[in-house]
Amino acid sequence: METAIMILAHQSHLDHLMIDILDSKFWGFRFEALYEWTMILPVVAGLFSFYRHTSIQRRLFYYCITALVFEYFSQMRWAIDQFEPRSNAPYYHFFTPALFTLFVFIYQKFLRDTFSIKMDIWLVGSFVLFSVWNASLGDGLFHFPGLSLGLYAFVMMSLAIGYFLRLMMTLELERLEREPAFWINAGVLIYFSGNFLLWLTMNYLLMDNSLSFSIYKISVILGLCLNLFFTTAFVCRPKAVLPTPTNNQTPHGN
Amino acid sequence: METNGINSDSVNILLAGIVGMLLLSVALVVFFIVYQRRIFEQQRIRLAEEQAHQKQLLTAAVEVQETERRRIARDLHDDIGSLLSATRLYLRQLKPDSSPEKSASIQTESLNILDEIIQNTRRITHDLLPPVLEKFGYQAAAEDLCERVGKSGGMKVVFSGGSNQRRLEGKQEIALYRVLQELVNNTLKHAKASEIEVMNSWQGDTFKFRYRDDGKGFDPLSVKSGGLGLRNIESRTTLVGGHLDWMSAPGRGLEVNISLNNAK
Repeated sequence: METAIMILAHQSHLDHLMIDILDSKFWGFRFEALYEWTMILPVVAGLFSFYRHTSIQRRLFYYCITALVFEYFSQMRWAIDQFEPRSNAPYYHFFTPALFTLFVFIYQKFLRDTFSIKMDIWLVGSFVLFSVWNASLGDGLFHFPGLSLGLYAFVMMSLAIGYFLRLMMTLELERLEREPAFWINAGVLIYFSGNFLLWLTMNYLLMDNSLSFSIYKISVILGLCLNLFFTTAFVCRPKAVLPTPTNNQTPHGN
Repeated sequence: METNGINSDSVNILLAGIVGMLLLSVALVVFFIVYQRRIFEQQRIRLAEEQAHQKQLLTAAVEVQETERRRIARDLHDDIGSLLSATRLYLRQLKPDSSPEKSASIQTESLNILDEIIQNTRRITHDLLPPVLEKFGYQAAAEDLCERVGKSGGMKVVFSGGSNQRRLEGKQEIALYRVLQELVNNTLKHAKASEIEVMNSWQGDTFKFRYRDDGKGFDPLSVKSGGLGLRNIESRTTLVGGHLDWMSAPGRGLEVNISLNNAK
């Protein structure tokens, strides 16, 4: 019993330490901005490598540009002032299905022999319907779209795991570090698995504003990692692979 | 403990859950990388082994070819060449002023040598490609070979050809005949056997060949890659799309099984 109390006390101490580290005062600058600033990195890397993009890199580039525009737009004072009460939550209800669609557009390349275009359309359509339901009857338009983002994260984790399983079974890539697909999937899996529970419980955490902001910095750190992984996906040069007889292009977009 | 309606225990559980999922995802990515590297390493080793084996088979095939060439050259040089030289020497003695007796004697000797040359040429061509093999196929040629070995004495040869007289493809027939020749040759030279058993049968589209002797056998581990003879046999079998299995142990003779697919 005493041991259990000691472990709980120790864990509690660790949790406090973690929250302290996540606090902006600990770092001495506005920590939340780190994600927004680093979003520029993949876009710049994508621009520099624009003429040698594979089809997957090109799709990722469109995603990064869209995500950057959405993120900066939702932070603009003018955009926030458009709603009464002032909020940027309604924008996220719209951005989430848009970014989900772009991700499915990327995964359509990775897993095209598993998912048909019909399946993709069905997936996107279902997600849009769920987002509309969530904005109107679920979390509400002026609240954080936790349920939509939770579903978004769940689907992305499943797709990334599906990609890794497929790669394990087919063994079509030898030099993983040279493949943009690997970096994209590793980034997606880590980012969305870290954010899954956080997004689902965000509306509950927002009951305590300072605590929620502290914990939300986990998402900022994960976003920073995602941006670095995406930047690497643009920097690396995939090895040319001969087209397989059944498909015109390899699943890695070469 | 509760602050602003949030239970601190639930925050702890949430943080633990987030960290747990994060660690799990990182572990998954790391596992995938390590697993994939290991699989590729194993594939590389297997490929290298296969390449080495193919190289051995190719070397054996070249060696077989060279041995055959040397044997044909020796036969031509020792038999035909020397006999032709002898004929030439006899014929040079034939002069317009030679006596009729001497001329008749030279003619007789020359004709005898020419007969011998014809016989030797027939033997050499028979060794190269027995006419019975070409005319009647592998089964008849194998039976003929076994009969000849059996008649030469000192060894009992049991041949079983099965009732199906379907023929193999031409190159498969030649390869299998050479394999049988090599096996019989090895048994006669090294095995000290008293009995040889040759069994041939068809199982659907697969031709099964089994060779067994009751000789002294050998330890497969002490003979590197099954020795040159068996490597030659494997090389010949592989070249015609066949599969070879063999087993031997000291005192337990030798057993070779060959299966050939896609037979016509």
